[in-house]
Amino acid sequence: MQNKSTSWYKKPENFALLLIIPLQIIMNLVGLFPLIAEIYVSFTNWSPTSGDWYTAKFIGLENYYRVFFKDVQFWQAIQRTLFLTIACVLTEFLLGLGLALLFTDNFLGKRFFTSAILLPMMVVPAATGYMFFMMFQRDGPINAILSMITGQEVKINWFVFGDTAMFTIYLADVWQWTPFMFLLMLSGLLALPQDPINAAKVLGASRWQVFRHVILPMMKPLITIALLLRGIEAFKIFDAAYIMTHGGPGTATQTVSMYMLEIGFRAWRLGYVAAEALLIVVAMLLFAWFVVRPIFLKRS
Amino acid sequence: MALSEGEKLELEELTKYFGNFCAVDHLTLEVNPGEFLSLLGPSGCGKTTTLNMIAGLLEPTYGRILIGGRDVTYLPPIERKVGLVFQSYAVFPHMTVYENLAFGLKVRKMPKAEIDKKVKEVASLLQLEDVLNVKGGKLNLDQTQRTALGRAMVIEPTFFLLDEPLSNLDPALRAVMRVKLKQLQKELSQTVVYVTHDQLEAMSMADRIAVMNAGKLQQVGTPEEVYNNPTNKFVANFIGSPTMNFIDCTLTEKDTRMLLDAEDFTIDVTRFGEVLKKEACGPEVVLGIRPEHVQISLERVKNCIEGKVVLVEPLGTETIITCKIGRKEIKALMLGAYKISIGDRLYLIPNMDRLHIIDKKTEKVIV
Amino acid sequence: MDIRAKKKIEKIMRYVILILATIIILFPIYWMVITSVKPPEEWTPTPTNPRLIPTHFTLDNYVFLFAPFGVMETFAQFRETIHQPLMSSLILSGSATVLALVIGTCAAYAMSRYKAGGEFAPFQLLMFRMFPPIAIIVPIMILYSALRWLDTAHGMIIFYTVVNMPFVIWLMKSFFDDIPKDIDEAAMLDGCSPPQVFFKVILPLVKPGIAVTALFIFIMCWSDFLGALVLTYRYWLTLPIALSKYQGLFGYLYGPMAATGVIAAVPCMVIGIVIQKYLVRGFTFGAVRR
Repeated sequence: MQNKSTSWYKKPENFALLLIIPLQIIMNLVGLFPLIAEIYVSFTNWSPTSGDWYTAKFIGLENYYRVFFKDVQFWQAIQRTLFLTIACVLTEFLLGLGLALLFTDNFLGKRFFTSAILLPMMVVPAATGYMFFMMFQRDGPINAILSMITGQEVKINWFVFGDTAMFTIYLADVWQWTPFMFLLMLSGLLALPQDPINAAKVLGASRWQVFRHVILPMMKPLITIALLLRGIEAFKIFDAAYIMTHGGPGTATQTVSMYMLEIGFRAWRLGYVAAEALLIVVAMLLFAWFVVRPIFLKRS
Repeated sequence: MALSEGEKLELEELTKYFGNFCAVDHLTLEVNPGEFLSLLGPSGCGKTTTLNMIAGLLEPTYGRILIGGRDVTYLPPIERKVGLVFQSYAVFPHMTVYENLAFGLKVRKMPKAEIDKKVKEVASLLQLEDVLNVKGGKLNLDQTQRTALGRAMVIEPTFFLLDEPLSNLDPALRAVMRVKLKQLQKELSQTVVYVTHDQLEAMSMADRIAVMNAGKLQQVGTPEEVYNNPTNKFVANFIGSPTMNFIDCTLTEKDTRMLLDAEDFTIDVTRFGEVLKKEACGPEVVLGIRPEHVQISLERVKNCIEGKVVLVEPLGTETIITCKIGRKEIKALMLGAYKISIGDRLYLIPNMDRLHIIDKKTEKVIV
Repeated sequence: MDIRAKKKIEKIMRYVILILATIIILFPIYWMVITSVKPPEEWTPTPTNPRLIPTHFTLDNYVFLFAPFGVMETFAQFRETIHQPLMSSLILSGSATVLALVIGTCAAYAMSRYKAGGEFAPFQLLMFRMFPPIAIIVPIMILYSALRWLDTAHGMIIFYTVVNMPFVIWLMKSFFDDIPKDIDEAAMLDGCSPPQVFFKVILPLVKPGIAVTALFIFIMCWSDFLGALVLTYRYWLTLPIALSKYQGLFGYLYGPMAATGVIAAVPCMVIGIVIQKYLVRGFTFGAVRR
């Protein structure tokens, strides 16, 4: 029974509007306006130490120019981060897939082992960094275990050398995020249709042959997405790495995020950082438009 | 094409338990070379499980499988040389038809030239030459079917296992494919084990039918045998469409005559007296007669059953008439069209040569 | 080879690998928890004894965090307690979770039923995830310094809410999508107005979804590091930041350091185990379609 004088908020369109307004307010206020401000700031040489942002001097594209051509440290950070990302994601993928293959059928203790494998993912990343920081101390358990295994005293100063420090960051990330890949791979494996796999088995294929010729090709779309998702996240690596090395020794383990932190919040060159941030955002957008979107569209 | 010499397939006491559930219960069966055997039964009776065990995908809990006398029970599929075609066909979508066909040979590490020869042979036999380079995922239903079949043929298996391959098709196409498959089988004189739940398919295609229910083998025989001489109630009920009439009766002896007392009518079965006295476990029996063996008459005749029409189903060339006698119902199948309406009085004459009497307790057919 | 023998070997191999993997995976956590209950003499391994299994247990390390004086005299110079970061984490995470859930659930419902926000809204939200946090932080920082919102509770809560919106909406929308629209229509036929449909009919149906999302967002807020690092400096530091601070402050006090780590990590681990199954949805953005 329609009452002629239905309150306006009860009408479907209006109600929908009402529901979504808080979201719009908060996202625009805290998301959009600062973004616009940031774009403006990126064209200035603002530093909070020299006054409020609207008083900073406008210097046009100078920041961008400097980022592209003069900033060696920035590009080194990018290179380092890319290298780290690729290493971590590949390792996590291989380990995750390998482990997932063991979980495709039921066995005693499956629940227990599943929870155990998922545990690292649920540790706060900062705490992970903290844990690994303590473990890799000169007088910490890692060295102790290595000493036990090799029989001689091992006292590696993991955080003093660039390479070993990178290695610890790599290990921390693999430790933390392999469960993620494991989850994805497992869901993918379980969702595979069984008939083609059985057909291959009856035709005489060995386990490895079935995997290589049937399972892997059918998993391709999922693997692509998994690598992409994880890759994007890994590029932003910060929490654990920062706690473990603070970018040190020197700048040997400084990732892109850490570098920007240093510039922005140690040297307080916010104008410059704004430019860098926007550059990265643009790069990400381009990447999303040309790489992610086609993949997304192909699926639907 | 020189497919391998057929070998005999034997199943000995094949049993499979899933936890406490018995899927296949001491199945003993023989399939002769060149024979088309159908494994017939309702869903869940264990026929697919049996098939999987023969193919090597499942391990039996107990029992043996022998191919040509060799015990293959625990051998991996590659050593059994069995061709399996799934209900879903399971053609590899990311491989071309050529690669699909070649797969079985590739995993056996056959040289490329030989693979090519054999693939081309099968392709020409099944008319797949023009789609050899098309990816499996892009084929239509008919091509998918032939590819699935060809993939199994290429490895020159000792016999074929087909798991309800026609159930995805619509009835018209199914009828056509039935004929085609049977022709192909006879041409190549291959041994085929064909799993289905459609008794019509089994009856029309198979040399012999093995009827299964709840994991147990009920009866093995030619279509004629299972139709005319079912050994138990399940087989009698499962085979034939429309299904057999079943009426509970009591066996009584009156003077020298044996009677089947169905409360509302009686039938004189003195001619079976000897057998009945020997085999029947008790007086409780079930009378079984197929609708096609019940004649109707508008006049009272000797040894007839009087009934009232409750349903008429005209099927064009045939008519099914359901009559009610007291509380019991009997269906009669008559050729031709009949002008009979509901409520008419009819007299049913069962064909005494085609009558079955089933012991109620053991469900075994006595006559 | 015989299938049976092969299968047995494979079974054993599987367990061997799994047990090894579990040991390696659980070792860091195990070690941290162990260290947090060890007395000072046992903190560092010696050449003769790696001290993987403690011989004495003590809760002194935890007490130390809450009341540094008196417990370990030599370290009594540290006046830092863990109260403030702990409280801060709890309050900020809890409030942000509630706020994000309220706003996000409403919006998710609007998106699910009325396609508000456009067809590509979900995809747009995914885009948000692509930006490095540092890029998001800078404009926020600018805004906050102008608003004088740095190192304030409301500032941080709003920040967490905004940052986690994509997750809330993604999760809740998927839960709403799981409920057939027929139910909405049936309710409206019965005379309910749209608000009533939402509050009285649909919302109760997604209660488990809300619970799961809430726990998930709580974990995200609690784990935040960069945000708190930049946007707070004294009064509202969170636990993860405390970890960083204690690195320098406590130096070689492995015991209390481990205890801090445990306090920081345990709540989320527990929550994580509880909502294990649903983590798949959140982390994979529904990338795997069943």
